[in-house]
Amino acid sequence: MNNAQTARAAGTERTAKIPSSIWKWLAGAGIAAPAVSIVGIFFVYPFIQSLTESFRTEDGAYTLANYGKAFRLYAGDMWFTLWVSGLSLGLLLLLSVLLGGLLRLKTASFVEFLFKIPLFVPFVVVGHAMRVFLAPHGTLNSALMPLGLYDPDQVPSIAFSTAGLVLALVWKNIGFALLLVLGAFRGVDNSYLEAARNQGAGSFRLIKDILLPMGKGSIGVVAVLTFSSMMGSFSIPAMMGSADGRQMLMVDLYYQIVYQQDYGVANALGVISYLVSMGAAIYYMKKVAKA
Amino acid sequence: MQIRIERLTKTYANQRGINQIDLTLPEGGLTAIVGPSGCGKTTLLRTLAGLIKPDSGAIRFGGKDVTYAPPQHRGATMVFQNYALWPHMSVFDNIAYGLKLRRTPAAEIELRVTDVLRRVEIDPADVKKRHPQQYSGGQQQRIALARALVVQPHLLLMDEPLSNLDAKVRQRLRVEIRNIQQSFGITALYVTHDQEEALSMADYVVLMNEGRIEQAGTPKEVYYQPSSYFTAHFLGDSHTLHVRRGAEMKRLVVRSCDMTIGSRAEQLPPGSARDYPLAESVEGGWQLTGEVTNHLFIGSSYRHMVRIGSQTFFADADEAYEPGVYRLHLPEERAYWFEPEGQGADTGGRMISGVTA
Repeated sequence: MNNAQTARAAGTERTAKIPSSIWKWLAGAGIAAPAVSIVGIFFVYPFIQSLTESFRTEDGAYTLANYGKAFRLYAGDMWFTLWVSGLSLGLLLLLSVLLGGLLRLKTASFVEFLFKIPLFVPFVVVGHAMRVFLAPHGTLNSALMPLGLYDPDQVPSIAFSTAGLVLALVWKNIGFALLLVLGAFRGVDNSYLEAARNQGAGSFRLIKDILLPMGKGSIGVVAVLTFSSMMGSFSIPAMMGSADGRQMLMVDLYYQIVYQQDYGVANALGVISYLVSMGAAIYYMKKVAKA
Repeated sequence: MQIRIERLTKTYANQRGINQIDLTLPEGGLTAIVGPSGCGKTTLLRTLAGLIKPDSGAIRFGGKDVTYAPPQHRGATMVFQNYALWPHMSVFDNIAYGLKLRRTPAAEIELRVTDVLRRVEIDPADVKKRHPQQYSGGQQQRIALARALVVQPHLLLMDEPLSNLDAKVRQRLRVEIRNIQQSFGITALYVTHDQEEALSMADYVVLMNEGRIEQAGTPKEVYYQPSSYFTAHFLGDSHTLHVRRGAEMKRLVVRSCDMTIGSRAEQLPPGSARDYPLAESVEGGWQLTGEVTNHLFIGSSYRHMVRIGSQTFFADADEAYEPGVYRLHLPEERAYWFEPEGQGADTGGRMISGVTA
């Protein structure tokens, strides 16, 4: 083979190689394109729009006024939302870890089934059921009435209070939380538990010392996901909301859109709740996922 | 403390359990339970640990009946096959866990953990910072041993502790575990499927088969005086030859290592294996006829593949023999013979009179 031939061969090789890699890239991009464009059109674009709208007044000027108004009107509700979500999350985690732990140590398929029911009950149904159950003249109070614990003319109400709201949120989320926590606990090899039992640990110790630390990644996921979902819950707070005027943020947001039609403030509230949820996610990534 | 097991039985619906196990573990000794998988050895171990409740029978630690006592109240700690060291705890916390549960004062925990670590030869300097997964497999098993020993149990249970380790580490740890067990003077039960491990480490070997104890005794007893066909065949690289003794068929169990190729001079003319009896009794033992097909150099000697009848034996010799038909020797005291299958109980014994194949 002479020099010219070698050069030609190398040349065809080079021209043949570059397009093939471009084709591969295009094929890959083509496969990913539908999914990426859906995310772009339906998630990223609305979010950016919402973000810009939150900084604009109705006449189109960029300002922080919407945030000022949101904080002035709803600072109390923001703390209330955090408090309700945080308290519900705490109760939820405590319950699902204890319950998941016990179910991991001792199989009880019926109990497990019972706690999966909430997964398939819609939010509004939960809200309504809790109203009926916890209302002043609801099922719970009527059942307790014969015990003579309180004056029939002044029945306490758990519905329409923070307690009722928390109860309903925990009820609704327990199925999901238990599903993930139990999955994580079932992933812990039996020998770790047997070794601890062998060293003298009882059920509570097994949960606290072995299952909880070994399943903390999944528990972190549960925490972030349910916290965000509780922050963003609307139907339960709307139906179980307290009578004393404190509302959760999504109810305020709905009020701003439907009754006030102040989209600027509504967007600002949306951005604020998004930032709080993202804060929880970042906290999770730093603290839990790393360890 | 003397550990007694009396008529212990545990049956499962679809897997084999244990059946009427009677056993006394010698105090301060290491007892190895060996047997094929599914023989019930792990069930027995876990019943002793309190992780499985037996159907009937009794377990006595000293004079105390602990048959149904929860694991934490019987003083039997366990070393697991996969070590089962908790990955989220430091090595120190792993070892100290049992002591913490027993509300031992912190200063004493410190002392005892350091002491036990020294005895299993793990450097106690940085165990509070390091986690088990930062140690090698062999070290992790020693840490697991330390965790089991630090609570000063009456009985140490080991469930195939070396089977996850590579051959070299396994060899070394056998000796180390044995030394540690002896230095603590603790009664120990060691479950393994590796007969070599059982024979080399234990004071007392229990051979199990199908939920029952097949034979128990010192390693030499069970190896050289097998009481049943199962024992003879299970221990060593053993093969069975069906030989005729007068009008009766017998099973002759031959262990490869007991068999020697006489010498090169005993090579028989080619293609003549069938012209000679497979096995015949001669002065001082047995004479077998086999065909050497090939050989491997294994370092200390040559290992020959020898076909006798339809089976392949290994026979080691100091020199390599060419392929061909040879006479092989089996000393009389190493020939174990038994009644053929399905003919009542195995009668242990040695072949005495002459037979031909």
